[in-house]
Formats: sequence, structure tokens, C-alpha cells
Amino acid sequence: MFNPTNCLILSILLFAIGAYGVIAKRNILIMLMSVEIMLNAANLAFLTFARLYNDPTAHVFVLMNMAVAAAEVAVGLALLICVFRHKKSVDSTKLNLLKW
Amino acid sequence: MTDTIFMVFAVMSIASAIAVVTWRNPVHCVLALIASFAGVAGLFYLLSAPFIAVMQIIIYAGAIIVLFLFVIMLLNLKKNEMGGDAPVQDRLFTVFLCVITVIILSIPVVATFTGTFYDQYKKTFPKPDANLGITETIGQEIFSAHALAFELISILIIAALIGAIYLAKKRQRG
Repeated sequence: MFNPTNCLILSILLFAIGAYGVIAKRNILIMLMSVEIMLNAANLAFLTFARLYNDPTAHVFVLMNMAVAAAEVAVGLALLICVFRHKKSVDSTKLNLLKW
Repeated sequence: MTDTIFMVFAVMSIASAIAVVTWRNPVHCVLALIASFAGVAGLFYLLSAPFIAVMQIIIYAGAIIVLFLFVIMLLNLKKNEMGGDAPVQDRLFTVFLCVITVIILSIPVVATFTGTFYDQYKKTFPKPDANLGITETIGQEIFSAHALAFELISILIIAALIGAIYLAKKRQRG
């Protein structure tokens, strides 16, 4: 059960669920959460290969990935607050200023 | 034994990830997200990365979740400000696209690991190095081979910090 194939397939499933959330939800908050799930899935794949090849480089990469995720959430939520001040909503369909 | 723990953590992370993308109330979604992160942290521990597992709990379940909750409390959203879901046919099409993504990504994984090259890893992982994933190894790796990446990530975090403060502060009307 606990083998490389299952770990990678689990990571693929998590990635697909996150992708579904980003595409199908209209709430920007939940879209940001789904992006976090996708980043987590990538980390899981990295660590699977680290375990398979006994290579600590992937651990460093995962730490960098976490730092990027934290920065992304901070900027994303700041943007969300900005949007909410202008539109009084976190609905992504309301952001149509650049739409023809 | 390991198989059972793997199953528990896998089901936990998948089920709570599905809850995150299906539930409507953002606070419930954040709580499900904590469960998902905890499940993935358990998987990290199983993959002999205890340091990363603890970092996952501290950074994700600590910092990021608190940030999300703080913003939810700050905005104090009403029902009509939430956005909700896309129409049903769009959601079904998205599910279809995601299933295709899973199939396309699974084909190389399954093909590779059922081939002859990885014969010994079909059932289980190889025995891990004793010092794989412990803090000392990761520290040496970061500050020797990946020192440049470490410095660059600090610049990125400074930039994100300044950007977040600039974006979120109230403009002075002059």
C-alpha cells in the first residue's frame, strides 16, 4: 500500500481537487485555499521522490516552496482586502473591469 | 502497520480537500483545510521527513490558517458577498476536466512504476538513509549547496511583506 505509485497518485488527486476548487469556485478566499492544496500536492510528490532516491535536495526545495506559499497567501489576501474595499464582495465574477 | 497509517492519512487529506472545495462557508472551509494539511503532514512524516512535517504544521496550520481566519473575520462576509459556485454545467465540465487531468498524469506514473526498471520498488520504498530528512542534513544542504536560493527567498519574502502592507493599507485622500 505504502509505495511510490500510491503516494504519487495521491499527490495527483490532491492536485486535481485543488484545480477544481480554483476553477469552479467564485469565492476568491476559497480559490486561494485551493491553490494551497495544489502547492501541498507538489510538496508531497517532491518528498516521495526524495524518499525514493534518498536525496535531501527535495527537502530544501519543499522548504522554499513553503516560503513561496506563505508569501503568495500574504499578497493574495492583501489583494483580496483591496478588492473587497472597492467592490464590497469577494465574488470573482464581479472583477470584470478588464473584460470587453 | 505503515499501510494502515498511510491509508488513514491519505483518506483524511483527500476527504478534507474535497470538503474545502465543496462547502460554502469560508470558516468551515478553513477548518477542513487544517485537517487536510495535518493529513499531508502525517504523510510527510511517513516519507521520513519529520522536519518538513513539523514545518508543515507550523507554517501552514499555524501561520497561513491564522492569516485566512483573520481575513475572514476582518471582512465579515454576508451571504450575498460570498460568490458561491459556478453554474452546475460548468462545475460538471470542471469535474470532467479534472478527471482527465488525473488520468493523463497517472499514466506515466503507473507505466513507470510497473515497468522493469523499478521492479524492486513496486511493493514498497527502499530503506531510507539514517540521516535523510533530519534537521542537520537539511541545514547543511541549505547553507552549502543552496545558499543562493536561501538568500533569494529572503528577498522574495521582504518584497511580499512590503507589497502586502502597501496593498492593504488605506489610501490617504488628499
